[in-house]
Amino acid sequence: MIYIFLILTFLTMFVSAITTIPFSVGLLVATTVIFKKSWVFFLAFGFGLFLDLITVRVLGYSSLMFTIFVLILFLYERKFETRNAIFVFIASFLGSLVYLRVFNYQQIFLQSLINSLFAIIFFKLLWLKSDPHSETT
Amino acid sequence: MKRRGSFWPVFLVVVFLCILISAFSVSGKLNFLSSFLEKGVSGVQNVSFGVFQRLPFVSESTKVKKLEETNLRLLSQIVSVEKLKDENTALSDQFQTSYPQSMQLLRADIIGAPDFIPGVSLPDVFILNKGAKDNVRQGCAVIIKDNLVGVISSVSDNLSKVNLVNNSSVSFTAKTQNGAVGVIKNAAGTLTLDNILLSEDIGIGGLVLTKGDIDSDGVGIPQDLVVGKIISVEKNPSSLFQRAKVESFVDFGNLFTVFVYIPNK
Repeated sequence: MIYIFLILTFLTMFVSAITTIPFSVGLLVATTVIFKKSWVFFLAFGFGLFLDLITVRVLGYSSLMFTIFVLILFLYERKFETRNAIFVFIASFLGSLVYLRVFNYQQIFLQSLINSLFAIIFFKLLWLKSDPHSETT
Repeated sequence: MKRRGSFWPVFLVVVFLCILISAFSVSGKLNFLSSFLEKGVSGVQNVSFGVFQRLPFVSESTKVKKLEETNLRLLSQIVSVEKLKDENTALSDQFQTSYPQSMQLLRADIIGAPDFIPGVSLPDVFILNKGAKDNVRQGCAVIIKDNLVGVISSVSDNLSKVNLVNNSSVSFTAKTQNGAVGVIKNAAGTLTLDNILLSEDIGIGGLVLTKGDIDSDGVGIPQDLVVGKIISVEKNPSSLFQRAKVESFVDFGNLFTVFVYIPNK
């Protein structure tokens, strides 16, 4: 599973250089619900730093936003079941929407929708590799 | 059920790191680190943008590209001829070279176009692989041949961000070939030459050129760069001004390299 995760991380960073669709938000949601480990905060930090560097922004803004976003996912996960595609879709849609709105990008709904669909693909891939006999909803 | 460890300490550490980095970044004390990281990141950007531009559904055919280049060259020749005509009629002491001299142009590769979704949206921002170390400053004009591409909006040590002419935050004075002066801005997603006096005569197909907006440090937009051509005119007798929709000749989706008009050292 770690290989799939690393490939997805690399692809997300690679694609982030050419589009504003925040695939990193989708990957963060999928990683959070699958792994449920606190190192995801460091992943959020890394993704944020990378995005700030490539878009010539003040360093740390995206990291802070992603970290808070992961915290919200963790808090939600304590009370409700999150390992399902619907949650991944909604969480990445809302996360992308807020991110794109805060940084004043255009066509935020379309970009969020595309990102949410990719988030489900990330989730399914990671899920299959973590527990191939399980079925996701 | 296995009880998971608390995530609060990690969260607090990461948040503290983010705030620390933001504070240092704002105060400029992190320039050495960002400069170091940018080198690696710009490599990734360069590769991904290069790969992306070579995808068959993104890049145009060579024939179309060649025709576009010829078109640009011919248009720049038209502007040159018009300029020569004007200069011949003017007094010799008023003669000045308005086109950017090659000594003042810095070649820069486009390594990112973050807002660009092929088939959905046009790019309105470019990231260039040149920064403050190469004497690029905020406000510098970015050109390709005689065409204005955009204006540098932010600069780091090794990278710079260009707001293209079709970006809503870009606005500058421009003139038509027959001297009508107006303001170029993005109105509802369209490049518009606004604030032109009603008495001015502007026609469809006419070229729009920059009026020149260079500050005392030599930073800014030089005059007589081609912004685009007029595709429609909106003239209402009850309005104070008339406006014209302008179309740039530059195909922003297929640009790889641009030139930054840098101030004289």
